[in-house]
Amino acid sequence: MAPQVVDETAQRLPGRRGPGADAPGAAPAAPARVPAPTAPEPEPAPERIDAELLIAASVLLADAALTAKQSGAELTGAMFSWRFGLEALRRPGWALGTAVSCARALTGSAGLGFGANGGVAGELLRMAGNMTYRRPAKVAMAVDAFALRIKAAAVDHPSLDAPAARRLTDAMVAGNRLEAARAMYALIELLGVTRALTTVSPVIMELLALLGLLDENPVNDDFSWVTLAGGVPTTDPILGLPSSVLKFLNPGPGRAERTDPDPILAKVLTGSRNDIVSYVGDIGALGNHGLVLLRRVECADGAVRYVLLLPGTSFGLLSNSTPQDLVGAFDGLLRTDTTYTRAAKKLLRRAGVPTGAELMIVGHSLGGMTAMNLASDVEVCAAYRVTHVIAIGSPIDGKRPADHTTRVISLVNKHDVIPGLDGRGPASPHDLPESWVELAWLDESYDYPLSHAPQAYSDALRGEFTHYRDQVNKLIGAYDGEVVGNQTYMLRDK
Amino acid sequence: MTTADSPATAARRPATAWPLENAVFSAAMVAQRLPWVDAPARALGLDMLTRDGVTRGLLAFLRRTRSGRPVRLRTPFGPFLLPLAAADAAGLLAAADEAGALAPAVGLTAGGQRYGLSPHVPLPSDAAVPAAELGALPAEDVDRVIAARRGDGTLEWADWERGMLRLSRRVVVGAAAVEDTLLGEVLAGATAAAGSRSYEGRAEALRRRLAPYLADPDPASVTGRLLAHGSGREESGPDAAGPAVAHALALVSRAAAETVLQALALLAVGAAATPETAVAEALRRWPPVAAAVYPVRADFVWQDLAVEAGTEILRVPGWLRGLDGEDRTDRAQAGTSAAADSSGMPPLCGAPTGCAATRFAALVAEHVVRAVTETVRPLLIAPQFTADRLPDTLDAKTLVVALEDLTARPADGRVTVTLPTAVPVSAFGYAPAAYGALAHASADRLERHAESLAACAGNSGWNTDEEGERFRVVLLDHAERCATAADGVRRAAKRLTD
Repeated sequence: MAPQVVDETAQRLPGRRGPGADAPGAAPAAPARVPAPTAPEPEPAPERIDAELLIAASVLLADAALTAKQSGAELTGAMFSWRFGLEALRRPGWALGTAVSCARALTGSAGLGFGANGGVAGELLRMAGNMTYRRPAKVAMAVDAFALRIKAAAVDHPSLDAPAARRLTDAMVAGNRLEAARAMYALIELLGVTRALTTVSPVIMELLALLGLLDENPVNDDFSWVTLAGGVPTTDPILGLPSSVLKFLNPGPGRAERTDPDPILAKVLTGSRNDIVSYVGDIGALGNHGLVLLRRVECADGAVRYVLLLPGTSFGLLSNSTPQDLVGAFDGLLRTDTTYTRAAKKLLRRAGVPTGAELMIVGHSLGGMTAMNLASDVEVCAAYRVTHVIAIGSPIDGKRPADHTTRVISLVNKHDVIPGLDGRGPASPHDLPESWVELAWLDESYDYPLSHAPQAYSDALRGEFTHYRDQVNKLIGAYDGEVVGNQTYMLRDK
Repeated sequence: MTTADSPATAARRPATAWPLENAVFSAAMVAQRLPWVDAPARALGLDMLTRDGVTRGLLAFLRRTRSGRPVRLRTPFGPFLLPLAAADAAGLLAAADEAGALAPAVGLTAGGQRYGLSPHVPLPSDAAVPAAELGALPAEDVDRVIAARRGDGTLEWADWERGMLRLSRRVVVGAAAVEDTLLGEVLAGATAAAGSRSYEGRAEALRRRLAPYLADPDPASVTGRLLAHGSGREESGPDAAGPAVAHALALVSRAAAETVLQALALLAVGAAATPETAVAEALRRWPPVAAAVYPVRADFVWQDLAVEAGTEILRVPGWLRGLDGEDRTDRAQAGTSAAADSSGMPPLCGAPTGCAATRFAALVAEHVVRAVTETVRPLLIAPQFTADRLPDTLDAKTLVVALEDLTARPADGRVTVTLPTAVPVSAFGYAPAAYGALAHASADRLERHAESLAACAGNSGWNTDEEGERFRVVLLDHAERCATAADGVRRAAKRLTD
């Protein structure tokens, strides 16, 4: 069979994230300048490995790692299957030969390595191998696949190639956590906490996946495999706790109480209209203490439509009485039924939004995740027609709306750490559905949390990236009309 | 015939089962909720002591002692009037239907739990897409499903179901509805709520969801034909067509997702010769509506049997199979098609008499099976059974069928990363030969990965610097390791299949 030729990568590689500029601060719309004839020739940039080639190689390695894992699971399943035991009673000679053959395939250091996995016995063997620092073929290939991804990300994010950052990534790839901790400390000393975090943010999922694969904890490996395969992790990377645990940390049926806006908010809302910058401004004015806004619009075509504005997380406490807390943020990232969605559904019912009404949900950060969680709720989509979801700085790439006609618009500042928490980094091989609109840019708000603030998004859309603003406004044109109701609600966990 | 116009004095009340019979029947139903109960009896080869064996034995006993007449059974799940022969059940329900004495049916699981059935709505005969035109419709979706196989050729149930629901929407509602997964969800919600208080709200949501497709129908679909050919009928508008479309979609979806997979399993083990017989046998042997309860709203008389209002008739085509020598596999070889069979009770619907939508669903299933088997060969991985010993029940969700290419795989290898099936799964309880087949496929894939990695290492793009060359060496090392692993896995696979 002919081998796969990777010189033809363009035919099979997914597109890269976003249509934004390749270098920080670059404006895509800037006209090209013709250099003066007397100007010295610019020094050619040093030749680098093509990012597409790096990603292609990482995909091949990831694929091979997953196949090696599957092979190990099949042989382990065969050896420890009760049917194999029954067959062994009938044909002991065959069973002995087969068991030896399977064991050889599973443990050969030049082959699968210590490749047992799956089932009770297989998982116990895998855990034993994990705790004794065995590195089977599947793990070795997965680690190198992540290393290639990190290298690919560094092409678009040169700060990752700086010596201090490379020291950290190299230590993580080598599985040397002590050296990694020292490198992180040195990076923080050099750049400060926020900039250090921003520097590593493009590859944060890869670093966490490497940590999961190479540490002694055998129950957090699923995070790494799901990240490698291009899915959304359902466990945390450190302890390996399943997302269902968050259900117990973020309990409550959700509650919505009608409330009046304070004078400042009321003033902001008075001037609000169907414009993405205006929505971002409204979300900023709502704050992060549980307030959300339901707007009723009599549109130009005579229909009455609704807009729900959902702000993001309050960072003051791990958990507070509203759904907009840190625990709620993790819950919203990993699950769809959260206190925020429950409270929002109660709001829609309490406000008397008629069944079948068209609804646009705009959210920032956790609010964007909640918007997608509501749009992926069959009950919500059966009751209302969710026409648009606009997520601003939200990790929503693993979520899908229940209604295929829902227009999803994701606004991403590439310096913002938060949108990357869905596992889709700049060097991830997977991409978004074709119908989605993702508008990504690199602006000057480099450091987190400034890069994540609604104001940073609002400034970018008002200034350098006004063409994105026009694009979004065109997509939501159906909601142009007269605002006939602006009602704020306070959402509570219980 | 109703009580008023029948010789009421001559009519008799149905015979009542003895307490011990009630207790055994109830125990068999309760035991259906404990899947491990069968293990000892199966291990000892005592099939008559399994749950299905006990139920079948009791039904045969009741039939013998009650001269085949319907009998009243008392169970923890309600008292039922149980016809003990398929012909009796058909006659009883037809009489009740004719007398207008039946309320809509609900499904009954083997464990006694009730569930909603899609409300039966007659489908006009000219609305069903003719067989000749149906042939091309499933091709695209079948190809898509086959392409979504895991590397070992097996299909995840979720992927299979997603693909088949997509196909069903195309055939019934039209090409515009292919991506509308929400339609299927809303339909499933409405079906599950049938007979409950929440049904109206869900049915309204379903009407809203169907409205755009009824307003602009696809002429190649059932919806298009229903609206185009219905202009002369009394109920021909989009509003009237909605329930019929919903019913057809529910039945076609179920047949495509469940019956097709069961039919592929029958073909894989040689229990059926053609797609038509495979589908007919799957529907007969494992009817999706294996048991249904029909509440009686008014008194009526069937033959000399007086049935009172408030009675619940339990129709159990799945449980009665096997009596009267119906269990023979030679029927499956005979060449009958379920799509052409208009007699008896429909296996997909709760209608008391025939259902045109069921026949159309069977026709679609036959076409899908034909389209699948034209491209790939089905191999049964789990559960293991043979043509001469088919299981009494076969849940399509637990069925693992590998689809092997009739021709060689494409030469560029398979990339599973980014596909939903990329994360490996553990396989439990398969026979050693099935593990061997899977391991063979994995060894092939490892070999192809070795070739791909080596080809990638040969790319001139790695020549740029020291790090590039280091990556090249890494790729070559992994290529070698993949090749070595493939050898080991292949040897083990050969042993397993010996």
